This record gives sequence, structure tokens and C-alpha cells, in this order.
Amino acid sequence: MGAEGDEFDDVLARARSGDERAFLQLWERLHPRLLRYLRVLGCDEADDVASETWLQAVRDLDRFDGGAGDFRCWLFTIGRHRAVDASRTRIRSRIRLLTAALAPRADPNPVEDEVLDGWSTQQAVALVARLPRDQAEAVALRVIAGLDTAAVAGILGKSPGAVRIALHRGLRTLAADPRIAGLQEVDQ
Amino acid sequence: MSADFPDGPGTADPSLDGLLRALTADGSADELAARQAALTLFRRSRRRPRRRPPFPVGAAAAAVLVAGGIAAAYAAVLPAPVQHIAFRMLDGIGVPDAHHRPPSPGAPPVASSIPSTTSNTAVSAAPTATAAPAPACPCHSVTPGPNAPPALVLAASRARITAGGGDDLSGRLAPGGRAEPGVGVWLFERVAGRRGWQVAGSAITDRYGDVRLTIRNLTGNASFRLTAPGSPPSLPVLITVIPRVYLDLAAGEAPGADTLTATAPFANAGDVVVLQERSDGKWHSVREHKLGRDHLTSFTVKVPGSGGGLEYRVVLPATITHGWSASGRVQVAALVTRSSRPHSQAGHELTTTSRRVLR
Repeated sequence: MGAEGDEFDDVLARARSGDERAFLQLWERLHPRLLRYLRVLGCDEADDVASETWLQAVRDLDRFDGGAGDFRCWLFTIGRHRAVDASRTRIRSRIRLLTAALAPRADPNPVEDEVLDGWSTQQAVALVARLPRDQAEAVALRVIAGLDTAAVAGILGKSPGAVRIALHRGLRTLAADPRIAGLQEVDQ
Repeated sequence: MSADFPDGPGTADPSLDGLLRALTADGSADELAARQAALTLFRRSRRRPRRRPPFPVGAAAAAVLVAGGIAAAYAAVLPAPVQHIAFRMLDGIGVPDAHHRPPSPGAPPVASSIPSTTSNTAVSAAPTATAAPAPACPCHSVTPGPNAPPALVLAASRARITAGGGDDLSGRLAPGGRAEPGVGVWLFERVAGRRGWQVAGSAITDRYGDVRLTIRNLTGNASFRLTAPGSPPSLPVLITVIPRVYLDLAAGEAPGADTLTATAPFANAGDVVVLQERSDGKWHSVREHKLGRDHLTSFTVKVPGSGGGLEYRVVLPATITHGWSASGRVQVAALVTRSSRPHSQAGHELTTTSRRVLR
């Protein structure tokens, strides 16, 4: 993490002491990643689940003790638990997410220029979500959440070796996906 | 990227660089739309009372936490989604949800739908009544004192909506910080491109001074304000409407030419539609047409030679009545099929026109 990690530690410390700007920095940095992770999990209402995650995180911020990496891990752990809770009461619609993001006719956000110009985050998230669950989650927590292998293993309740294997297989599958090559050609 | 993924596979497999960049890109405007709600949540949590109560520490901590939450929930000052979550968390101990509360037995009946006089927008309110006092036009604002909190506030759950969709508006009447229940408030609407404010609906504040109104079938940009007797009107809330625009490809009448048809059902006749062609990784505007009365217009494009392909999209620029929109992309390409004839002198090439829609 280096200097960036130190800076993040400082932002976290200021947020814990009630600094609104610091909290917003924290939120702006992590909220988009949290949303993407929840979407990879097939969360039908990722916005709501993310709000509930932040509600708990803010509520318990005073009791949190750790650095930037720990906070990131803690936040995504809460998010995962809230997503599991949500999946018990709501119908998961992973298929719908994929349809919305990848089907040729379905462009759910025509106003978003980034969806149309080159690689879109939405398409990338949808591609990861197509992986088998263990691989998708390993890729999401490692890449999107930016957690190290040990932290991912802790969240998933697996060994670091198993996480590495799932990550490797997931990335290999993604690299072989013809849509990646095709879209990169379009962008070049 | 390297900071977040120090030993990641992105460096090992360059083919994944684009994917990894997209996954770790900065948040889009859409992803950061709940910024204000998050800040409000943070503020409320920091203002929680932390007095030492006269009972054991464990119970005290729990009580303080719950008391803070209840205070925020009863105050009903959080944005609607956050407020709803707070109430959901606290409903086990009997805190009612101000935004999802069933009307009390004595409350007036909920108005189902109130059509606006200025557009085909429909507004429903809960709780509401038909007996709100005659509204005053909000065209002239009364400026409150510099430090006084606004007595009447209005907020929309979304600032941009898809044309034909709806939005939730939340209002609160609390002059001097004290909620005023049972007061009739009026929702005024000013449709973009038209002058003057028109009544769009009415409601009566609940015991927390709150009203909630739902707009349906909004087809053009519009501003909304609340008015109440004796209070300056709320600041206007602008809702931008985004009309979808579609691009479809069909074979043209002339050989070697195809027809791209742009359709924007919620745009206006006469709105400009720009055809863009993608080259060098960027979109370039190549032609402009105006939408006809049937909300569509057509462009004729040449089918490129074999082996090539061109991508197109159409953009609907923002106007006073709607926001900016773009279609998905469509590829026009020629398909070359090789017919292998081992007994002939050479392979023959049969060329047909093919189309792919990429969207």
C-alpha cells in the first residue's frame, strides 16, 4: 500500500474522529467498489444493501480498531453479510443482471457515456459475475475490493491456497473470453 | 491499481488490463449519487448523545446506541432511503417508519392520483387530503433570515429519471425546527419551456411534519416546489428527464447502402439527432437530422468493403425539455464467405452484406 496506504490510514483516523470530509473521502473511495462487489454477488438491490452496510459501518465506527486494510476488509465483510441477509428475503436475479449488462438490445443506462465508450465497468462486473461463484467472489474481493489473499481467505472461510486457485482459474477464464479480445479490438 | 492490487495478475496477463482497469475505475456519477445521504447518515451518527446513564456499562452502551437511532428515526430528518433503513432496524422496538407508515384511523383518505394541469404527470400523495387550503403561487419567494433553517423543504429521490418514469418527493414542514403536523401543503410544478407554476398535487403533513408525494409518468424536465400557509415556499427541485433513443439497422433500397433508423419516443418532433461514427477509438459526429412527427428519422450509410466494419450510434443532445441521451452502438459490416471448390481453378468469393448490432 505504501504512501497511499498511509494516506488512507490518516483519512480513516480523521473520519473516526468525526471529520466529515474524511468520511466522504472514505465513502467515495470505497462505495463504488462495494456496489460492484455486491453486483458480482448477484445482489438484486445493491444500492439498498450498500446503504445498510454503511449504516452498520458508521454506527460501529467508534468501536472499529485497525488500519486502512482492516477497514476495507471489515466493510466488505459487512457487505457480504448484508447481501446474504438480502438474498434470504429477495429473489436473486443474477440472470437479470447479466441480461441487462450484456444482451445486445438491452442498454439499461443509455445516458451513461462510459457504457458506450470502451470498456465499461458495468460490462466488466457482469463478466466477473458470470464466473462460478467461488471464482467470481475471489476475483471481486481481490481485484475490486483490493484485499490481499489472506483477507479474502478470511472472508470466504477458505485457505489462502484455495483462494489463489480460484482467483487464477477465474482470471484465466476471463482472459479466454472472446468478448474481452473483441472489445479491446474495438477500443484500439 | 498497483496500490490496490500489488501482486495482481494484471501485470502477468496484459489481455486483462482493460478488464481490471474497468473493475477498479473511479466511481461514476451514478455510483456516487447517494453521497449526500451517506453524509447525512454520518452526521446523525456523530450527533448521537453520549451521556453516562445510571446503569451498567454494557446496557448503557446499547441504550445510547438505540436512543441515538430512535432520536434520528423519530426526527425523520434522514433522506428517505436511509430513514427507511433506520426504521427497519428499529421497528423491533416500536419505532414507526415516517415514510412507510400506514395512515391512522382518523386520517383522511389517501388520494390515489392527482393529474397535473400542465402535463400528463400524475402525482399521488400519502398521507393527503383534498381539503388543503387554497394554494398561493410560489413564484415570489419570501427570504428567511440568514441563519434560520428553511421551514419548508423538498427533496427528490432522484435528480434524473428515464422519460415516462416516476420519482418520489419528500417534503417537510418544520418552521424553527419544530415539525408542524396536519397542515395542508401544495406541490407546484413548472414544466420546462412553459411559464408559471401550476398545482400538481396536495397533501397534509403527518405528525412529524412530513409529506411524501410520488410523481408518475414524467415526460419532460420539470421543477417542483412545496408551499404551505405562512411559510416561504421550498427551494425548487429540478428533475431531468432522459428520453431513450434507439438505433436500428435495415437493408437499404440501393445496393451497398443500409438504413439506420433512430427512434426516440419521448423526444420532441424537431429535436436534433446526431449520427456518430466510431474511428480511432472516438466518436465523431457525421450527420444531423431532426426527428419527425413520428419521433424517428433515418440515415443512409454505405456498407464498407469486405473485411471492414463501421460502428454507429446516435446522440440526442439535451434540450430545455430533456437531458442528453445516446443509443447503443450498431455495426455495419460486409461479410465475406469463402466457397471452397477444390476442383475449380481457384476459390470463388461470394460476398453478402451482413449486420451486427453490438449494443
